Amino acid sequence: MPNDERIDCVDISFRYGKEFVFDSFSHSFQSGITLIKGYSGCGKSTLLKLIAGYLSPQKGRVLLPQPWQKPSEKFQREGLGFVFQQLNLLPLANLTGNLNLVASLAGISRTVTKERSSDLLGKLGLSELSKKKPGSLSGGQQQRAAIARALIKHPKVLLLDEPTSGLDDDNTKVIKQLLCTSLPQNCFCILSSHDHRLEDIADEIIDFNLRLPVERHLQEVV
Amino acid sequence: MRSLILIFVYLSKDIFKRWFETPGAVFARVLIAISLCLLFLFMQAGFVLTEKAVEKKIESFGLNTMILRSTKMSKTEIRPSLDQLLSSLSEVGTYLPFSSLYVNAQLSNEKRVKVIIYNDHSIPGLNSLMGWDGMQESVFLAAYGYPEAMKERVKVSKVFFDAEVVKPPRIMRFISLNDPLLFIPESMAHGFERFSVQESVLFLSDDSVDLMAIIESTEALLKNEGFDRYELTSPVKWVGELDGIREVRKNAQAIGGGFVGLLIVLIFGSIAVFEYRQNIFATALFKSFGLHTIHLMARYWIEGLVLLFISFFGAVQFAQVFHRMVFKLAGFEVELLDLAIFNPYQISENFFLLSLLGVASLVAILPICIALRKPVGKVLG
Repeated sequence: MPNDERIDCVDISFRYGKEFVFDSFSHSFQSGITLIKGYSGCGKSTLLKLIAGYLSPQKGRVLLPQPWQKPSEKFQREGLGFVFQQLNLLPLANLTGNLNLVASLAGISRTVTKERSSDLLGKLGLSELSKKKPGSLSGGQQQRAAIARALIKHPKVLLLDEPTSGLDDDNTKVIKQLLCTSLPQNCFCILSSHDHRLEDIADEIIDFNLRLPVERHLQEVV
Repeated sequence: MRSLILIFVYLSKDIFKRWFETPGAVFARVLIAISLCLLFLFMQAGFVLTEKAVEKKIESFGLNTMILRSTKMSKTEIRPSLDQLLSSLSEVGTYLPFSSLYVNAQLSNEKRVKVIIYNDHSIPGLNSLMGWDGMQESVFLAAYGYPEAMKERVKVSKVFFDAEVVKPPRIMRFISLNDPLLFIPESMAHGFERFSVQESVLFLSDDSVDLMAIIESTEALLKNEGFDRYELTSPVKWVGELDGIREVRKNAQAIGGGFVGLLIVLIFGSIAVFEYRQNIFATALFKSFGLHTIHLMARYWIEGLVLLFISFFGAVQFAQVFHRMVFKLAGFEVELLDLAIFNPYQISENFFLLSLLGVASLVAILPICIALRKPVGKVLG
């Protein structure tokens, strides 16, 4: 039974082609910040996509907090904020446009959107760039804008896939600070990253390296 | 609603950006669609013109007319002449039996004209057709553009005649379109037997008579009497021809329409898939926001629909501008179709083509509908 307290991955199996990424994986995520770390290709991003409903498990299920119960378009519109590793922003809309579009899909009023938008862009140091198109922003600015876009609807579930990869310390600090101070109440924030700089803000850390068979560990080390 | 407007604005921007970035792809689509629509429109107009031509022919000859032609029997053949067989027709209409020579007469201006030999049985028919009270056997030239009652010296083989010019009735066009005809009574045509001749009967039935029944019984009679080479022409038969043309038009519309639709589906579909692939990340991003795929399908459908409607209206304009030129070149009588009275290029006359384009634009996005089923997680990293 889904409940308000956690996100449950129940007996999930998923594979790309013949190779299993998850084979009967189960875990319960509590609200707060969870960091999933592990080597490249261990399934961190895949797990986030499974929770978001962007991929469907071949076996098992994802149980979401009320009122969504399972991943759906409505959940993606209203309850989910997702930051991909790259290509996060719509290229033909400026930053405000990107934020407005997602907020309007979530059914948030124009006034509230305006307030939240100016608050988030201010906290992320993007106020001056609100009328700029993504193409004219740096990688760090784009990543921060993507986080603002994910947060504008005050999502119940916030999934961030490598949010600080390739970012300098200053950019990482801004993002960390935002996550510590601006997450909605009882939000499930799951980060997938191998960036150690994020470990100190996590309430829970899941190390996917521990799922590795010994031979794969050796291969990784080599 | 607000979100729909924002999405519509964004997707429209996306469409226009693509159009400006790759105008070639837009022009190719529009040009091909215009050409196909033009072909379809001209095909329809061609049918309309053909129908009009047949209608005009029927109108000009009258529905009650019949003409029968047969090569005159050879010396070895034993069968009655057409006149002997059909003389009873004089009781139910205007009956004009005549023979035509295969040798032409020569007018004073060297012009060559067809020679008609008439007999006693022809005189009541000629009186009726020419509007004469009681004609004497005489040589006369039925011709347009010559002063009436003028005497024209004509030569047939080596014999000279002075023929009086008369204005031919319209029905004579059945025998020789607009060319003059020289009429010689049988009594003055001795010596012309050596030229092989064709015997004919021109018949205009009275209003109370069923001409179709007469045609059928005449054909049965001719078959019975061993006539194997004859030609029976009547506008009554052309009415059936008109129905045939309409039937062919319907079939051509269906086949041509299918062909146009198929080509549009192939061309628009492949270009749409190509553009979708270029735009796949933005599309997947939209889907990741929880946008229903129907909105994204609509984007491609509307784009195709807009281009097809632009092409349709363009083709309609082009068709009206080039109508005269095209059909004149193709040898049609363009004047038969006055576009101010009936315009086959009007939108109201082309709902079939319009709906066909609508359906084609919908079918063309089928590959995109299938591609859109690909999970977001497999597109975005």
